[in-house]
Amino acid sequence: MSSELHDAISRCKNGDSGAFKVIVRAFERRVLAIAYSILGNSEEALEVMQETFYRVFKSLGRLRNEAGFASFVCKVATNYSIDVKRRRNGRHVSLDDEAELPASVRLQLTDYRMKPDTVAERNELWAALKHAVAALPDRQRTTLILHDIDGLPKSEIGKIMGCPQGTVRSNLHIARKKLQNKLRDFM
Amino acid sequence: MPKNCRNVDEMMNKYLDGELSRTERTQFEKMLRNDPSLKEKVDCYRNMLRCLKAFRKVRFPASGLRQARAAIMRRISAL
Repeated sequence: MSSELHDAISRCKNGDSGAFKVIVRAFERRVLAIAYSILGNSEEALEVMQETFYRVFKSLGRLRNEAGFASFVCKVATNYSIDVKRRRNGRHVSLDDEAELPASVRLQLTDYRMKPDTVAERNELWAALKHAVAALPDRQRTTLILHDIDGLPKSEIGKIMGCPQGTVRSNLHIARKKLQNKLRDFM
Repeated sequence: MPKNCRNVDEMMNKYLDGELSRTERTQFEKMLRNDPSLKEKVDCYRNMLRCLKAFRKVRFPASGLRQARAAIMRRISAL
């Protein structure tokens, strides 16, 4: 953890709520990536961002282990995103929204095996990826997101999800296989 | 097959995650050289994992981000 972040946490704990801006800036991309990969919708992802940081702020007083702060933020974001998804109750939410892929990522997607060289094909791959991730069962999807998208180690994911590393590994491998099967048409 | 891997899929995932020992990795890379279909499968997985990273790069509308940040600060100030 950077000294700036450590300082911001200490200041927040001592009542300087303005210092929370530093924490928001440090983790907002991570929180949005988790929320967006679970929900596939930018409006809801921004709602998750608000609620996640609100809950994190309220919990700061009880924070004992600052080394686990990043995992804690991810856990709050993950759990709240899953709650939002469950609350939809079958209500259809479009996965196509205002969020955009930057040019560098477009290039990355273009490098995919099929090498889609048209905008339509590239967008089709992105949509297929979002749908495939969204269709995974909660625990498999969360494991995949935290490991393959957010880059958390399996030991941390085990703590977040309250399960042994072996279960994390198993959920991850199943999720990857399902995703690979769904994306087969693009290969 | 290493003792800690039950099948090729498990070994492949550990290979992609950098979790094989040096000996195991050498053994798996030898399998890749001798089995084009396995090599193709590993390449597909590797590409898929690279594409998944795109979720980290999604750009949100600047106005939405600004509003969300402001709402957070308003809510915690009101506590």
